[in-house]
Amino acid sequence: VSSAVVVFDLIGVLAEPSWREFAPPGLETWPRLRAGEIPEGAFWSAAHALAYRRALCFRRDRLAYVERLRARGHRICLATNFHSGWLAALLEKSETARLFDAAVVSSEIGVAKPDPRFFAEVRRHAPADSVFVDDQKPNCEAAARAGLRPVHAYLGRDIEGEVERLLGG
Amino acid sequence: MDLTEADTPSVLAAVDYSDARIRAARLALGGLDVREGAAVLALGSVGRYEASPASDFDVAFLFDPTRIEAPEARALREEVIAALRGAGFDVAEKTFDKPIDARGLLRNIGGRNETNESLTYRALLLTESAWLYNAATARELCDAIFDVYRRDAVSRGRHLATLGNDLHRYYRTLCLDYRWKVEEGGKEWATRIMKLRHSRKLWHLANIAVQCAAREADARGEDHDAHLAAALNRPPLERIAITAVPGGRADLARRIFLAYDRFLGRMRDPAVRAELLALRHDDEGRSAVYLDMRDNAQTLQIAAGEFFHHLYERHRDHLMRFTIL
Repeated sequence: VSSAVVVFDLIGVLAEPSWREFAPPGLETWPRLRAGEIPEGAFWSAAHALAYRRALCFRRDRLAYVERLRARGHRICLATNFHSGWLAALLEKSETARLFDAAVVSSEIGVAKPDPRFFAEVRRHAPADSVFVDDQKPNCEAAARAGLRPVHAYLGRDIEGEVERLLGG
Repeated sequence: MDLTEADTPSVLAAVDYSDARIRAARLALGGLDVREGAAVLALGSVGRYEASPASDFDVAFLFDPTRIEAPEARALREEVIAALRGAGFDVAEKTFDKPIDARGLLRNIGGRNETNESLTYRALLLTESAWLYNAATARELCDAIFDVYRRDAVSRGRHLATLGNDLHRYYRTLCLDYRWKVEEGGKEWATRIMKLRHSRKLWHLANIAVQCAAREADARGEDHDAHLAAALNRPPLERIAITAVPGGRADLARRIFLAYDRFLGRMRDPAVRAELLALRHDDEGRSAVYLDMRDNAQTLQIAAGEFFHHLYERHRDHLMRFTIL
């Protein structure tokens, strides 16, 4: 399994913060933004858009782990309910696009986790038994139904230890 | 808990106010590019979601010296403080008045070179912090603090006793800090004793409660450490609730909520704060405000004591070993 694919969720796992931690309460158009149905300008203010792009950042510790996985021959895939413009901004400023072999982004494919169609897209990049890391339990359950091996990255969990256990490391 | 919004208006107002302040501060700092390796967090009443317009706005600036050097950290901290003040935040610079080497918080725990300052930062970052700038580094550094205890090879024990002892030690340090400030430091006493008897005590009780809850999670075969890590940074009242309600004693949590709501309501009143600030110790019996708050402290003490008794009945050996003996 040394070349197994590891699929990572983005916010709450590899990067921070969630847009929810930034926005005023009560934004109800997120399902439409994440599905790519509305532009960001219809979601929140230009000030929020700019501030959120600036605030987005990878966790150095998690990125270092991704680098170690790649060095061991694993392919890395992102699978995220996210706005593609935010991901582009994050990858550009952190110069980390090279770390990811594929990215499945909800706003690009029009469906979000835990929809089975999202996981069908993930499976195009990740064969059965690939490891899938996500901080949302319903997403992990959907991943398991799609033939992936989930790691529920709940707050406080030793994510690296659990991924290594599944990889047999 | 059989509570309505009308029962705890001050608790809810404090949560709403704190949340709004945190979001506004994040937006105010959104004009700064994120510098990897530096993070800013709200601590104190804002971090506990108990703030009112009368509260201090305590801000901790952390940096990782392997990624950002101290002079750059100092300059960035000045930018952060200026941005916050420019947005109308009255940033307090008493305890938290300089950049803190986050890696330094991970060393010398319990050793002769440890300082009260590093103990304070560790305890507050773990139990009452909310990120304001660079969430990624903030979460990474807070996780690193928890991991020190989690990964201890010899001393950690099954229930992370070292972490429990460190939090316990910080509570006792606060109690003695009060003694020093009012006996030798010439500081006012009435507000401090009321905070000790309400918010500090609740903080301490909440820490003990979630340690018991983590032990129960462990007994169910769940992830003890993750349970504790996730629960610790919830507001103290929430920590009480998530422990009491599954234990079948929502009534005890309710009494604590009601007494604490009264405390928060009093503390958001500028007239109450002014009277406590001016109160001489010899005059305590003549202040209706003080006497009322002292009675409320006693009400909270009784409710907290009964909740502790409930914990003791369920976790006698654990509490005896880890928090009493």
